[in-house]
Amino acid sequence: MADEKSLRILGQPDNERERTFIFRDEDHTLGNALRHVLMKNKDTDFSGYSVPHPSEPFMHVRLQTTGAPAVRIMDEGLSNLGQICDHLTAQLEAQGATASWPTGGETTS
Amino acid sequence: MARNRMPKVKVNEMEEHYAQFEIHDTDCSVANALRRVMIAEVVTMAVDLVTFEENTSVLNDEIIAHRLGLIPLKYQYREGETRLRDDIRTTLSSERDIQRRFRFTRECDCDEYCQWCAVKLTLGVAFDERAKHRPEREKDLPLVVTSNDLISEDNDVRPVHFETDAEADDSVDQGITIVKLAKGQELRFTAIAKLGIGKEHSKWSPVSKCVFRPQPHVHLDDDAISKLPPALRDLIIQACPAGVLGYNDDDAPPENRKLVVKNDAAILDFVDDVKTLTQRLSPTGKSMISAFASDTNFIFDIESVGSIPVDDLVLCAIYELKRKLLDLQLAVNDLKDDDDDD
Repeated sequence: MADEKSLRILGQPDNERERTFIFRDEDHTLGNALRHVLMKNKDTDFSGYSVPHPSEPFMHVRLQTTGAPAVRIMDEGLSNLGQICDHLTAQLEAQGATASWPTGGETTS
Repeated sequence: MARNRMPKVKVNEMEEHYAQFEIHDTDCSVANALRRVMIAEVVTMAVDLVTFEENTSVLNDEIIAHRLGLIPLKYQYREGETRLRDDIRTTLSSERDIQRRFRFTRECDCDEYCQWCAVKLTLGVAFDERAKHRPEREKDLPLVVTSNDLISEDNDVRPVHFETDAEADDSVDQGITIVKLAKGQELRFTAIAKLGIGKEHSKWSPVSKCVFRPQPHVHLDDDAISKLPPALRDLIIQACPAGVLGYNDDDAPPENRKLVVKNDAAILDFVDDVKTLTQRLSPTGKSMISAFASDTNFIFDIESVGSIPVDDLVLCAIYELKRKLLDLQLAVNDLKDDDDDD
């Protein structure tokens, strides 16, 4: 498992506007939310996701942009969704969920 | 740049085992991601490996092992006593995070399991031995073996017996029933509990209920309704099951009563019935109610099985989602550089 990449990107090198991202070990949980955030980006022309086969651990996200590199828009999408997570954490803490949980960063070495 | 909505949270109820909160200004996809992470991707501990030394009970080993897996195990950080993992570089999460104390067994460098990736629980109950200490008239009754007989060798982790003290007082048993023993029967085993997530097996899922529904927006035409005779207003209430619609003040004289929605959650299912009825009752044929489901506001109802308190659970789920996103962002950036080289 360790040598299996968590992400692969498919696309033509001469056209950076269109990419298919293949996420390993992800499913509808991230797929739909990510697709939605990407669609809200004004540089996005098309965004869709699918889980090609339920017994394989892959989730595909297709992203086509109006001009910007698709990889950059994906990066933005991931960070936007991350910001929503941070915001939710802050809101919950302000509302009396008492534990002090983190807003980002990786914990394991 | 994307225009993203920053959600607002309103907590209605937050207890150890139950929570209800609303998320406003967000989208169904974000709410659903949160729901799915809470069900399937929050890390908890559950019995995973059982070695039987003696089992003469009526249930076979596999059934008992399965039942053990379903007993919630609660990790509790004890200030000054719990030894946290020392291989974590950045300590951004709370000490209450179980992953600050345990590793996944597959990520641990021990041979089989160790104190950093597993907890050993033992149980040894023999009917004849216990019968000696039971009152004379109860000596022959079946002996209930419960989660209370399960002894954890790690003081940070213990089985959960009841949801609340009140429930414990009401119950005739000492905890969650594992099996019943009759005369001469005995049960003895060692159980190994490991970290896991609900995606792998639902015994690791920390929630028994985790749902969200759109917030309903209801508008009642008070003017038109107040012009109806009381009997017809009762008819409107009866169009829905009891408790969905009602009067704001049952003791007031009928003329002064106002029709109100008593159960927000259920009204959406019956709004069509009320609409048709009020259209018929109205002299102008106009409906007196309108209700629709919000696209942006959602109400969450969560019940925990007891392995994690609900407040920690929600935060833990958001953290899990965030961690996933950060990992993927790193992966995207790695590949972005490759992309540029081409």
